[in-house]
Amino acid sequence: MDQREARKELVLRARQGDRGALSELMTQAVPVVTALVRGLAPSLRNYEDVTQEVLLRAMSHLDRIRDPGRFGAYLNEITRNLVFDIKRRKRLVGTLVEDPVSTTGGPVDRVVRHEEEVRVREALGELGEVDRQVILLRHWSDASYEEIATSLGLTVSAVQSRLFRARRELEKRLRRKGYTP
Amino acid sequence: MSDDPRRGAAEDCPKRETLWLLYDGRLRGHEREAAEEHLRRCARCRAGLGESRRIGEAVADLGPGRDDAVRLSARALARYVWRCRVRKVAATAALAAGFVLVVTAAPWFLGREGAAPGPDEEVALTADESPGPADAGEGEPSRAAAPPVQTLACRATARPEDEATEFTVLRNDEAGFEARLEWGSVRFRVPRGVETFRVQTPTHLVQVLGTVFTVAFYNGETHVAVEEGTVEVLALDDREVAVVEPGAPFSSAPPAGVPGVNTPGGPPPRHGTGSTTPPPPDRHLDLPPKWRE
Repeated sequence: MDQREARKELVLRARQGDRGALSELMTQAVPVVTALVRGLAPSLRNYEDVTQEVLLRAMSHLDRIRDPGRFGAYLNEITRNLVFDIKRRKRLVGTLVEDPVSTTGGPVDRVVRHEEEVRVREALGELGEVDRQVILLRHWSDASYEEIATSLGLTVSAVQSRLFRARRELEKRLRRKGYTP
Repeated sequence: MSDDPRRGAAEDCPKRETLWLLYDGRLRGHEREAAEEHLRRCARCRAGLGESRRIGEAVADLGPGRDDAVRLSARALARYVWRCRVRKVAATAALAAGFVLVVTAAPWFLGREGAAPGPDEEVALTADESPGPADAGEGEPSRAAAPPVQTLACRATARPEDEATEFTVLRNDEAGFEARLEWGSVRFRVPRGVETFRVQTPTHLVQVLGTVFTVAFYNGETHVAVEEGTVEVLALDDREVAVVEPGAPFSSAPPAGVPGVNTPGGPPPRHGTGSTTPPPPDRHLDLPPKWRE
């Protein structure tokens, strides 16, 4: 069973009142929604609140999804609407917002890792909106090309070419910032 | 490695895109085998794939981990469950409120549709059909059986058991209300702001200082019972005045030969309506200066 079928099965079970399926579905949706939110609004500081709100809306209207196999597209629609509302109010611009410095490893490791993270964030923030969403969906939620295509309303070949372009751009920008992979 | 600007690509090296596809597990069959075979003998491409992997990992490190996902989804789920409960309670409350409203309002609507008044209900008199001040004294007595009407100045109501009440409104406008009670019992509810409100029986003049009161006249006796506020009762013959308050009703002694006793064509002599009781002896007071002239 591929990812899409597995998610469809979860949606159907959650609709029937299976609380465990709903919980798993939402847990799987978190990285997807976070990627979508941060792809659309990299400088959003309260992205966790936005993610929660998207999940809440998704749960409330689970019965309204015509095709449970397109759950990703449904999440994307909710996220887009919510983020655009927030953007309209706040006029957000800028790079991917920073998370707190990692507390694992020694002080030097932490500083180095933090600097690397800052560079990667900045480079991601410089990508186009859809390219950033594609690359974040791929690496944050481990979404297949098909799932990314469903979520963003693209064809699989478009996802493939956008992903390649986004990675190439990211690599270029990282090298420019002194980051050596 | 044609996409790497730092180094020249060998003729048989796959494109960088192919390495990414291999990294993503998108290569199948012959393509995959060829790419893997090439990687085994090409250190440069192996390094390129390693770079791709490290970039992918660097991006992935910025995303939410499984712990974050579980935490966020659990929080959202808790909020969802709470919201569902609140909606359920609100729906139940709305249903209950609707039920109470229907139960409360139904008798009122049924009553408006012509149901007969109950034993404790009151029927308003046709005070608006009463003559004005110029016609005072010539107005036809109002009857309790008339339809309910609310006038500008006040709403006068008569108890249903007193169907033969003879009650004439002499004046009823924004400035005041004056009426004459020849027989029977009438309950008055006086709105705020009315300056003058007087009801005269054959023996007494009742002047309102309060709001809700009942005047009855039977067999030559005037009875006044006050529910809210205060009224003054003036005896027309000896000009004595009594102030009547809630809980202390007024009843006059029956003077000989007063009108209203055995009124021609009127109802047979009756006794108190239940809301009146014999007056305490100290209810009769001296006439106040404003009523002396």
